[in-house]
Formats: sequence, structure tokens, C-alpha cells
Amino acid sequence: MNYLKNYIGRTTLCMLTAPLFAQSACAITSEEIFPSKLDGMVIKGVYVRKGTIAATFTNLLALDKLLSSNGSAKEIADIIKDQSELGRGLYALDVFQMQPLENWLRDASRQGKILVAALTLQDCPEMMTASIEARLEELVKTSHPVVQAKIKKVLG
Amino acid sequence: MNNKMLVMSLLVGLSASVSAKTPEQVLADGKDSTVLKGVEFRKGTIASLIKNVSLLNEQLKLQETPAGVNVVIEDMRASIPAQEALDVFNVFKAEEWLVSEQPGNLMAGVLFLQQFPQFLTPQIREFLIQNSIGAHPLLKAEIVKLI
Repeated sequence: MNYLKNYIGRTTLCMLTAPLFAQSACAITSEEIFPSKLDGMVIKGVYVRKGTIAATFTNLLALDKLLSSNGSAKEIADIIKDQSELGRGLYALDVFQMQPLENWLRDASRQGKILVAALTLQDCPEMMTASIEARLEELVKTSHPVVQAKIKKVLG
Repeated sequence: MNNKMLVMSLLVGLSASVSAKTPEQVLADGKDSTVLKGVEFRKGTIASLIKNVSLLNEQLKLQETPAGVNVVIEDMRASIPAQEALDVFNVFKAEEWLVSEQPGNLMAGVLFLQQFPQFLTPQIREFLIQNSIGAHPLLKAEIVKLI
């Protein structure tokens, strides 16, 4: 109930002030992105399930840990399998507008982050740029064999 | 008592073990929120941060302050503990929010550091001092509050 009051108040404020100012900003809340009871929704033509970004971040940190400590090959493969299906959703949610793929590839010691970036590129090849390609070519030389294989696949 | 402690530590160990996560495992069907590291968070929490960062990236480049910007900043500030519990600032460390030089990203990094000052290094402090020159007054005010 409090949320509803708050939401109506905020929306009304935005509606009232928008015509008065050339530019107006209204905060976007999680309720506006995913209304209650909805498990997912279509964004930019892609069905995106709630929890997509949180799952990706959990997977990424788990991969960082496993790839830097000779972690179990099965666990790594399981995560790759789950993560492979999330790239389009991340793209639709503008994750790469907030943190461009170049940022994901900056630190060579973050192998999980690099692997998730490579998995996303596999899913969304249109995101590949000349600078990303050049960075991947550098990273492939020093990466974990699993990450190397994925980068090679992405580079074709 | 010792057995109880052993069971508790095993449970903690299990929850901390690395394993694949699907969105369904993070938030089951029909659930709108869950608790992580003692913080309750709602579905769409990280997605709303992305949208608000993007809004501030546009709005804090303008000469005049558009209506509603303060609400965006306050919403972002209030969401920081949940974002931290969701590992947003582990995946992208404080420095990574600052180096983009986008005002919305910078604001997210500054608001995080205000609440988690243990991550404020002398290098970050120096970087922020340099970057506060010429920053939008609202961003500058938050940097001043931090340093």
C-alpha cells in the first residue's frame, strides 16, 4: 500500500513537472521494470526472466574463483551451460550500456568476467567491434584453456 | 552445542559453495523478492540501477538540473545496500564505475563508496578530487560528501 502511494506520488510529480521543464528525469524503480507477479517479460523482442542479471553475476564470480584455482571441470561446464542462455537477456536489459564489453575484458586476471563476455559475444555477435577483437586476441594468449577455447570460437 | 555449530557451519559452507545459477534459482516462479546476505531485494533491482545510471548519464551533462534528478539520486542511494548484496560492486569494482567518466556511473561509484568507505583508496580519492572539477554540481556535492 505504501509502495502504491509512493508510486502514484512519484508518477504524478513526474507528470506534473515534465511539461514545465525542457528535460525531466524520473527514477525507474524495480517495480516499474518488473511489476509484481510477473516472472518475466519481453524487452526489445527478447523474453527476459527476472533474476537474469543476478544469476549472471553469481555465475561470473563463481567462474572467477573456479578458473583461478583449478576448479572442478564439471562445475565450470555446468555454469557455462546455464550462462550460455542469458546473453540476449543481458543485452536487452542494457547491461552493456552501463558497463561496455571493453570493461569486462580490461582485467586479464578476471577470467570469469572474460568468459561471460565471450559467451555473450557468442550469443550476440553484432556486439563485436575491432577494439574488442584486438583485446580478445591479446587475452587468448594468457587465458585459462576453457576461456581460450571460448575466445577462439568467438574470433572464428 | 558443538553438533549444532557443526551443522550451522556446514549449512553456511554449502550456501557459499560455487555452483551454477539460473534466474529460476535466484528467484523462483511467483516470488517477487528474496533475502541475500541479510538484505531483502526485489526482482528488477539491478535493472533499475542500470536505467537510473543511464538517466543520470544524460541528465548530469546538462547545464540546468532537470526536475526529478534528486529523486533518481535518492533512489540510487537507497538501493546501494541491495546492489552490494547482489555483488554488483564485486563484479564491477569501485574503480570501474569511476573510470568510465560518465556522470551516472561516477554517481553510482561515489554513492557506493559513501556507504562502503573501506573501498576508498588514496588513488580513488585523488582521482575523485581531479574529476570533481567541472562535474555537475549534484555530482560534485556527493564527491565532497565522500572525500
